[in-house]
Amino acid sequence: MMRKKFILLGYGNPDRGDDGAAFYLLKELIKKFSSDENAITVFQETGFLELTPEIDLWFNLQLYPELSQELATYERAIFIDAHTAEIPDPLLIQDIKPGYKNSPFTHHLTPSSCLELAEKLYQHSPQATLVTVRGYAFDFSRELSAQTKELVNQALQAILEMLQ
Amino acid sequence: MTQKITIEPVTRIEGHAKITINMNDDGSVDHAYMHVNEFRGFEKFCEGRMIFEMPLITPRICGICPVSHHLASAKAGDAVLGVEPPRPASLLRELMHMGQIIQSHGMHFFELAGPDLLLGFDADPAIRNVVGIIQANPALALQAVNLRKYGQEIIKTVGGRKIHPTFAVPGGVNKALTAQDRDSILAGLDASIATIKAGLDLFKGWAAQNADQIAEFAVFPSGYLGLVTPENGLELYDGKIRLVDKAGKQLELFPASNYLDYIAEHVEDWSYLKFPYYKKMGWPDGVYRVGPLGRLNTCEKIDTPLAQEEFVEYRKMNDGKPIENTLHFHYARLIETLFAAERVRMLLDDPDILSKEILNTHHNYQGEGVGVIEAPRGTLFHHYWADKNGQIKKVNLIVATGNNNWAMCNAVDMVAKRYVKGPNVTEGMLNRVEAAVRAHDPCLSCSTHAVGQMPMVVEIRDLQGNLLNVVKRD
Repeated sequence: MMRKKFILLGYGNPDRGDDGAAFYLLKELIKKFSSDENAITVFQETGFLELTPEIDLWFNLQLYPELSQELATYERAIFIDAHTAEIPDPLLIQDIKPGYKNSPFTHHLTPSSCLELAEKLYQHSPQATLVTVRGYAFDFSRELSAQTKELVNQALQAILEMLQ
Repeated sequence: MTQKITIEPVTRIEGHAKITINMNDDGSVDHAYMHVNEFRGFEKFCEGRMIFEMPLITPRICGICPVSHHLASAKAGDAVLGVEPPRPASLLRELMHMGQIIQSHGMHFFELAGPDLLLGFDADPAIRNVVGIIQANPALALQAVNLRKYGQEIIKTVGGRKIHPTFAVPGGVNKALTAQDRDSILAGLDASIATIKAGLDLFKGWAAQNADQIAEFAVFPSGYLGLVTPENGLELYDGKIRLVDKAGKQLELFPASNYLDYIAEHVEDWSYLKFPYYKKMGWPDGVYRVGPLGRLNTCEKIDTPLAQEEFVEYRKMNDGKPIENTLHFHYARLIETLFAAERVRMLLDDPDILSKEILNTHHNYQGEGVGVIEAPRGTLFHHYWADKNGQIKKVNLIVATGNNNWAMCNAVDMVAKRYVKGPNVTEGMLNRVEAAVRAHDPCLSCSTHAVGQMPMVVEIRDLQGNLLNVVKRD
């Protein structure tokens, strides 16, 4: 089966400050790759954009089970998120493997869980990387904190290298 | 004697909730608490916004049930502006809402709660999840994923957008349904109903084998509250609010706009989430439950044939009296999912569903309004006060999970006392305490999903408040 090369999946709430780090990062990526002035608008409206013939962008408030069907059609997946103080590294980039976990309190799935579903239901999970930046402020705001914005810029550089 | 533990949340981002279990000297549980550490602040954030913005802003409260907030907000906007949406608009809003019920309930049973029931509370955590179901029954697992996808597709087809819905506005909706879209939704309906019925068979089979467990797992009386039709049928989109007592006898039937006459909120210093209760009976006698268990105890019938058949069988379990067993939230949830699917067909068969008369712009400004809807996890209230220019002055929200706060705390306490022994909490014990919470399908995520924010923390303390053990579930 012919699979597309990359999917970049950002998730979080752009209206909750640094929880929108992924959305911000993906918009910056669009600015770098696309000359279409409507591209960001399309992405905001639909949560999906074919950035290049080899790279797709995806964004939603959370990850969900049926995403596994899409994941199974890609070779590489990069998950982009923000993290709390529970993780000490301000910028964390790590390879992730399929492995299911759920929370008692929410319908939100982890990237590993989505990969596991892709593997088990559709017999393929992409090689995956998690890129996550520390968030400092999660109040009702559409702006990133200065610290997170700087980390997002670093994450963007790292992702650009991965996409080479 | 129980020592009161005051939980100081370190930051608001260190997890949505915490459970504290206070142990007696003999290793038995004295009391268990579920604390919600999530600070909301949403009401303050909305002050100064315009009324027409609210259906756009409020879905941001929660990434799990944005549709419920979107629709409740539009209904509150209807009331503030004194406008009745045209009938086709109400049908379309309800259609979107049924999509939400199907995807949310479907996901909860098959992916979240089902594994406990079908694989066992003490099963290896590595397989006690949807992956275990995939191994046991791959076809059903795929059907379950497609069921959630179907619900989401209804929302997207009706609303026109996958995220951040803009569909419902005060006075109606901004997008009509085409015949093509109607047919595409209908095309997936039979398969979805088959999946839901398979889920019901699965649950009933499990319940028959585990009757003892169901009978001793957080079974307790309470009041029950939910929307109903004029004939006291199950109602998820509109209608009046009905409150019944522990015997199922009606205490109140009132329009949503009068909710403050009947519902007050109690505060405890160990949780940010308030405890709604029935005013006339006071706290704590006036506690009630909402959501699937609450709704099927509040209504007297269901107006769709397959769901009604299941409902009759369901209520026979307690000779027609309210069902009190926490684990029967799952059973009730599946019956509601079936109702929602059948309701989708009824709505799509309605000749008005394709009408272009979807917005009423004639206002009779009231300045204050309440919108109520039955979100998947319970009754959701949006109450707005606005000035004469339509600028919001004040907002009051009672989120669905908040209504069940007392019930979740009580369930955690009962299950901890029954199953937790000594300071060393085994994985199976922890899972049962989680299951007490999970049965209510709580929504505590409040729209932030940062990595590291999902853990459930269980602290075991002695009567002096000394920490004996901490168990974290990532």
